[in-house]
Amino acid sequence: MTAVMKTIIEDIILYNNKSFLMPLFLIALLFLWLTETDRKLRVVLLYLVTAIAAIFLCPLYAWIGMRIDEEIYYRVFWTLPIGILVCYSTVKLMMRFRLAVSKALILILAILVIGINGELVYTNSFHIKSVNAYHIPQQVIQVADAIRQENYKPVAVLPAELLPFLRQYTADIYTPYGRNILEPAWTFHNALYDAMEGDSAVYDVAEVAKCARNERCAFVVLSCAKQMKGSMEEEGYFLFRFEEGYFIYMDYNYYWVYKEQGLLDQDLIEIGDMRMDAATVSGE
Amino acid sequence: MEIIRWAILLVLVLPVPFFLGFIPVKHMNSLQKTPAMTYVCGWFVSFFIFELVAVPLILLEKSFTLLVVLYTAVIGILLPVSLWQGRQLWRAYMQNIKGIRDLPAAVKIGWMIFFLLVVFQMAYAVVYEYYDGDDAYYIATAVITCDFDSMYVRDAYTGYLYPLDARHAFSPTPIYQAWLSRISGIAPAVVAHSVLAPVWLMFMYCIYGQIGDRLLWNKKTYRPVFMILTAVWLMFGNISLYTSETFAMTRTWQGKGMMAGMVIPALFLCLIYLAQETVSQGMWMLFICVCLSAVLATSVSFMIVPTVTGVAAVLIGIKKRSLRFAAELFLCCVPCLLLAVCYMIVK
Repeated sequence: MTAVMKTIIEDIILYNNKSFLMPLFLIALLFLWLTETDRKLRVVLLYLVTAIAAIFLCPLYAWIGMRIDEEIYYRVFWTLPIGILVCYSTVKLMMRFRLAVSKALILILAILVIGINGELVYTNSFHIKSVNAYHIPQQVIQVADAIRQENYKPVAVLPAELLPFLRQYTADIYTPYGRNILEPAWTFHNALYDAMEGDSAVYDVAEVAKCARNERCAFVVLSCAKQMKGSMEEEGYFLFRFEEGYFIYMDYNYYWVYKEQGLLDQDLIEIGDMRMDAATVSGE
Repeated sequence: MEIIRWAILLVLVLPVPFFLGFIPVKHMNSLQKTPAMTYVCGWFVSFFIFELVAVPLILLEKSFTLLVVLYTAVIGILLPVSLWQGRQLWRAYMQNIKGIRDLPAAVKIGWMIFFLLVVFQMAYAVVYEYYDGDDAYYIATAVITCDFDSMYVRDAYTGYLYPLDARHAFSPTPIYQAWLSRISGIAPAVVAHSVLAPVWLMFMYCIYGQIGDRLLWNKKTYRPVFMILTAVWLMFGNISLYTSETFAMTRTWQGKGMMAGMVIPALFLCLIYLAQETVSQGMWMLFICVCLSAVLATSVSFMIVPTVTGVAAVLIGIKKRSLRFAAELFLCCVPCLLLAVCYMIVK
């Protein structure tokens, strides 16, 4: 039970994050306890809110809840109508004053208190101006459009930064691993991922090629921001496209098989054959 | 062609929910017969029906096309019924609209400020994108559902087949978005990020508007003040990654955001009305729909909805001195509890 209590307290601290909003909620609750005269509203806004707060903070209830999923227990706090109570209390406070100036001052003061103690959602660094209606980076669309084929769904490995977005755009490309591998807490492991992302500055091309074949990847996408130790061509790949800072390589083994089966798009066949001819000429 | 697709999508998220809301609103009292309440009810009716149709089909591993056909048919049948049922509501709506003319200038300015805040938030949701890792699962699930015509039997992260994902199967918000995508032909990521994000923000404010209507039912002039404060509160509620305001404003299209921003406020809206002496039939209908919509949004509802409803049943029952009322209130979350039992069995 001590551990449960500790987790509840941690959840509250994380939820409130040193802001004044939780105390503001308690002040609003107290204010309404003293001033709300509508008995029907008292039942829901005061008795119900106080009771569910007490239940969610109760170690026994929390213990049961955490056994279901400890990581998301904090979501029970969503049921506390903090915003509704604070805003309604402010309006109730305004009503106690007769002069319009006094009412306006209270409103301005309330907005200032919320603004100063809160955090504007739009200043969050995760917000960026969108470049397309999908709300995903444009290079993901370019790379995905280059790889996807009309007649079959290839397997492709991509740099980590593209993983969270690729499958939001298309399901026409299989991937050996997805965004789940980026979450350390989920402890997924994959040798190809280690080869792709193990070194933040250099690709060990031989290792990437070997692991990509083990995962049956027809395409390997490499970022131009990283150096390459070795050459993909020497490993039996050809450069199909360069899109928005990403090299898209295709495995010759898969190229021949899929070409024989008539699964490849014409633009890929043209480039594949051209690269093959170039490689033959340089070999001679 | 693109224009037709967008027109279909906008019809599905604007007039369709509005018309579906006629059924419960017809059975509500005069204070509740507002266009905003109708829109709120319509969405929850949609979610309620979708949950009932989708979950059995998902668990039976049926095709997504079958779900699309069945759900579309149900909505197709309900729409004319709803339009017929609500034919007399237009008069109430007109009175609502006419009432605006009689408002004092200061109140009108207050409402204008509030609407400007909402329009700003909606525009921001369209023009700016918010990176959230969970979209890699939720949106990808909708994409994979549309493309492979299967539900929760493929790994959203890789595309490969895997056993039924029972953990998420009971809360198929992405499948609902896949339905919107399949009918309109607009990609799921566009549906979620560029359409549902602003539309559900509007939906959320409609709920808060109804809460304000009830809290300040005899103080109409203060309603815009309450709404302005609410809009400011939601904008500045990003004090941590965990608050309901953060989820409601940044992940509006996800089930979690829907739970934080829409379902829980709607639960309170219903409970505030259910605590009154006389409760309209329409409010009972809405409450049942909200309880089941919570499951559509997220599996946390298995814990939250019975707890809140149970406590509310006891307190409102005591206030009304009616055991029967308390039992009736609690019975509304029985479908949620039944799904919770199924969840435990399947999980």
